[in-house]
Parts: sequence; structure tokens; C-alpha cells
Amino acid sequence: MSERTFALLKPGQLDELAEETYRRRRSADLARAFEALPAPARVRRVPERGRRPLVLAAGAAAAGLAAAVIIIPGQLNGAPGGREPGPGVSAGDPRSGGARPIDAHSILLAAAESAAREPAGSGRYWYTRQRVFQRVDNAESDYMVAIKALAAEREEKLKELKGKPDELAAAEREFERKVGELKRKIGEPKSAALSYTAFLTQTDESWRPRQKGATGRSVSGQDEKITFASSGDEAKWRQAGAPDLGGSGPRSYDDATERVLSIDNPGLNMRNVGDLPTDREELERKLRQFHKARPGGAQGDFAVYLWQTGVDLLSAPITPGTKAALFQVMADQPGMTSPGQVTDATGRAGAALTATGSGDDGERIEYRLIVDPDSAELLQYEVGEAGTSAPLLRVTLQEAGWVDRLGDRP
Amino acid sequence: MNDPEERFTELYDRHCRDVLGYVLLRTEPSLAEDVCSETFLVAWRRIAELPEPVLPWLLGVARNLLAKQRDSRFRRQALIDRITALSTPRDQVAWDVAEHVVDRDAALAALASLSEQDVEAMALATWHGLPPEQAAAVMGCSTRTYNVRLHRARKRLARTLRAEARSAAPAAPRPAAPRTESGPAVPRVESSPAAPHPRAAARRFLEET
Repeated sequence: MSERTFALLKPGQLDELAEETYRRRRSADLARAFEALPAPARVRRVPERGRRPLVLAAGAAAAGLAAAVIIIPGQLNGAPGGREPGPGVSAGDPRSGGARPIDAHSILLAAAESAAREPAGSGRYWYTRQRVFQRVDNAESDYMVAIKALAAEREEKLKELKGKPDELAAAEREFERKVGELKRKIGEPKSAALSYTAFLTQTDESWRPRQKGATGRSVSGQDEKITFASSGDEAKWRQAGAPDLGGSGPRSYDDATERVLSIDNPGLNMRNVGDLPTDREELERKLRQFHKARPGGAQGDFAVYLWQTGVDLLSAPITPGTKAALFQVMADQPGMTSPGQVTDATGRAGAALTATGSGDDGERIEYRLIVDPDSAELLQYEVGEAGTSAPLLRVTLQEAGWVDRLGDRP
Repeated sequence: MNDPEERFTELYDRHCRDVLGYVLLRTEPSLAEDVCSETFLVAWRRIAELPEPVLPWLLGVARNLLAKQRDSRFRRQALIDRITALSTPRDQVAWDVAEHVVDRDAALAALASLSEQDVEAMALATWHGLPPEQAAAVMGCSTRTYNVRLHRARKRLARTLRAEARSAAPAAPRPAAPRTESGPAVPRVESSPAAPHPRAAARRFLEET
């Protein structure tokens, strides 16, 4: 009885009012949302600068077994990738006279064997040094000029509207909208803003504290270098007034903000990453759980997730056992191929592995790793559009390991 | 399909009226519209991580935004005031046609005697049509707790209605729902028609339309 009575207490006008309001507000609400900061899904899944610290404990290179598995002259199945290697990557191993690894699976299993023999380290800070090469999508100076102009405009308004809360709130919304618009323009992949293709290369170092709340350090922008895809690109850049492309010198920050270890795996941190399973099956089960629970939801296939998470983990202080298990999990994934033996941007030789996946805009993205199977080190990773030789991002992992004091290197 | 703008537009078109229906019963229209817009702005920022079904999540966001806006003194009375404000003669007619044992104002008074949580538990189930697990998600409690609350709310309402019916029996129309002094203003729409005999008015209304 009371149920029916209660149902009738809902005002009949409510639905009409909701309908009318919906029609009246729809376009403004949609526009307002789209002007706000880009939704996470729009953010390119391409790793950002500094997002992926790297790997490599000073490698006790284990010779022997691993190399024997990999280098089998004459056992090459078809062409090595059928693609021009990117800059700094040369196909073929100069040392072995055309010898090729048999396949990606074997390379990863060999790396797993090597990993299992590495000693586990310890210390208060996890140190990494990496050389980062990335395509410049926008002229940094243009962005800075625009954002500073907006900030100045806002300051003016704040003074002007002192004591008028409503107008002030409206002005703040307007400011937020303009910043959103600017960021959206800048954040768009392949920003049409630049008529030339340029790259910025720099060295980043970081000291991540193991202890929660402790101060860490990151130093970016060392040995900066701007390069162009061709002399024609450089000429176009000059025609555009030679704008600043972001090379603004070394910057060092000390702070206690804990950096995200792996964007897809927000539950991982410096204290628990060393506790990941060391058994192949257990680790895979764990990773599949993370994959399902990650912030982006269930979209995206496991192979691409594994590539990104693999890079994150190989750059982090995981135990040798976890590292071995990780290589085994990766070895079992279909779709990873090996174009052969290559050298990284600093001339170190390793085995190349590639996987392709879909980017957020449906474009084909190619992920390339260079792994040294003898030391189980990830030497370099790259993200690029499939079919193009120059990567969007390339990170060469130069050094990693535990130290006890900020500023110390292993 | 994967285009976030497209997904968001679809989400907005599908659920905007539901969210409005919820917030319009909890705050005055202009604020309700703002809360609805704000709710969808939050949804846009989280477009990549929205749960399914998404409606309870949206209502939960709206509920939190409302909680920030409202002074807690008004909470208990807010829903009754909103119902009163949104009621039109048509509601009275529908009520009278249904031949309830108490009049509509008395029923509202009965509702006003329940706690806000009790009323909300019933509203989510009856007015917004949410199954218990989704209603529980909106209210931020376990399904079990929600079911207990709902059961208790229905029992209380039934008891109060019976009491109202007994006391109302001899007399003519009861006075409108009591108003606390902190309760917001007078309803904008007359909650009962001017006609002295509601049932007669109802018949006339039905004949005319």
C-alpha cells in the first residue's frame, strides 16, 4: 500500500522538467566538457618523457648458454623485419658475420636464464640514467608565451573583480576554458602546429627513494640536442623564425612526491615492486589481474599492456626472479617478432624485438625493444608509427642500480 | 565507437534526464542544473574509467556534489520541499483519482517524518527504478545495508500513513506538510487546487482533457 502511495508522490512534472532542461542545456554541457582538460582516453598511450625510467644493473654479463641459443647462423626465417631500421639502429651484428637469432621467443627465454643468475641489490635510492630522444610536437616557446599571456590576463581580472564573487567565478571558468583549449591544441597527436619534423635528445637522471615520503631527485635536460629529420626540415624551422623547441638546459628537482612507477599499474610502488611473483605462471596471473583492473578499463589487448608494463618493470627494482619470470611471460606472447641483431643509440649490441598494437586514434603503433640476452638487460625501447623509421620516442637505458645517497651513482 | 567525444555524447543523451530527475528532487532548479552539468564534467574527465552500469556512479557523483552544496540543516526537509514545489494540480488530481485513504499533503507529512536516508532509499527504488545493488552504490553502502534501510523505510511509511489516516478520518483536508522555520521558502506552485472538493475537481479535469 505504502509503495503505491509513495510512487504517486513523485511529481508528474518532474519528467517534463528534466526533458526540457536536458534539451536546453545539452549543447552547452557538451561544449563545456569538450573544452575541459582532455579525458584520459585521449592522452596518447605513447610513453611520455620521464614516464619510463629504465633498467640495467651494471651487468655481470653471463656468457655461454644464452648466446649459444640465440646465434645460429643461417637459421633465418624470411627477411629480417622487412623494414628500414630507425636511426641509430643497424640491422645485423657486426661481430657475428650475419648470424641471426632464431626468434623472439628464444631471445626472451635466454634473457630469462640470464636474469635468474643476477644478484639482487639493495639501497635507499633507485638510480637511473637514460638518454631520451623524442619528436617535438610543438614549439615549447609558443606554448609558454600563450600560457603566460593567459596567466597575466587572469591576474588582471582578479584585481579588477575583487569583491565581486559571481563575476570572479565566471572569469575563473573562462580562464580554465582557455587553458583547456590551449592544452587540447598542444596535446593533439601529430600537432599540425609544426611544418617540420624535429627531435629533442636529452639525458635524464633520477633518484627514487624506496621509503615513502622521502625526498627524491630528478635531473632532466642534460646534454640537450635538437636534430631534424632532414636538412629540408631544418630549413623550414629557420623559415618559421627558428623557435625554441624545448631545449632549455638542465633542471634539477628535489621533492617528496612519489612518482608513478607504472601508469597502467597504479598499485605498484617502490616498496612492493620487489615482491612481485618469481614464478612464471603466478606472475602472468598477477599481470592479467592488473590488466583487468587498470584505470583504462578492459579495453586494449594484453600484448600491448604487457609491452608497456614490461618496460616499466624492467626499469624498476624488480628481483632477478621476477625479471626471469617476466621474460618468460613475454616469450609466450604471440605477435612479438625479432628483426635480428642490432645496436642501440649508444652502440651497444642486443637483440631487437618488435610488437605492433593499435594507438588511441586507430593508427598502428610499433613497439621496439633491444634486449641483451646475455645480461638480461633492456638496453633501449622505442615507440613509433608502423612503417616509419624515425620513432616518436626512443629511450636508451644507460645505467640503473641502488645507491644510498642522493646524487650518488652506482 | 572509441572516440571519447562520441562516447560521452551517448552517455549524456542516455542519462542526463535520469541525473536531472534525481537532482531536481533535491535542490532548486538552477542549482540542480549546475550540479547535473558538473556531474557530467566529472564523467568526461573519467571517460576512460567509467564503470558499467554507469548510472549509479553518475547519481553517486551528483549526490556528493549536492552534499557539498547543501547546508545540513535543510537536508531533512529538502526532498519534501522539492516535491511540494514541483507539484502541480495534475498531481493532486492523479492522487485523488487513485482514492487514497489519506490526502496528498498528509502523505507528504508522513514522508517528512522519515529520515532523509529512508526517503532516499525508497526514491531510488521506486522513482528512479534502480535495483538494490545499484541503489546501494549511489548511497555508498552495501547492498545488505540498503535492503535493510529500504525495508525499514517502507514499514515506517506504512505505519505513519495508517496513523495519518486514522487522525484524518473525521476531518476535512489536513493542513499542508509542516514546515520548519529553517526550511526554504514557500513552494512556487500551489500544492493543492483551489476547489473545495478535490474529487469533483478531478472528475472535471478528466472530462476536460
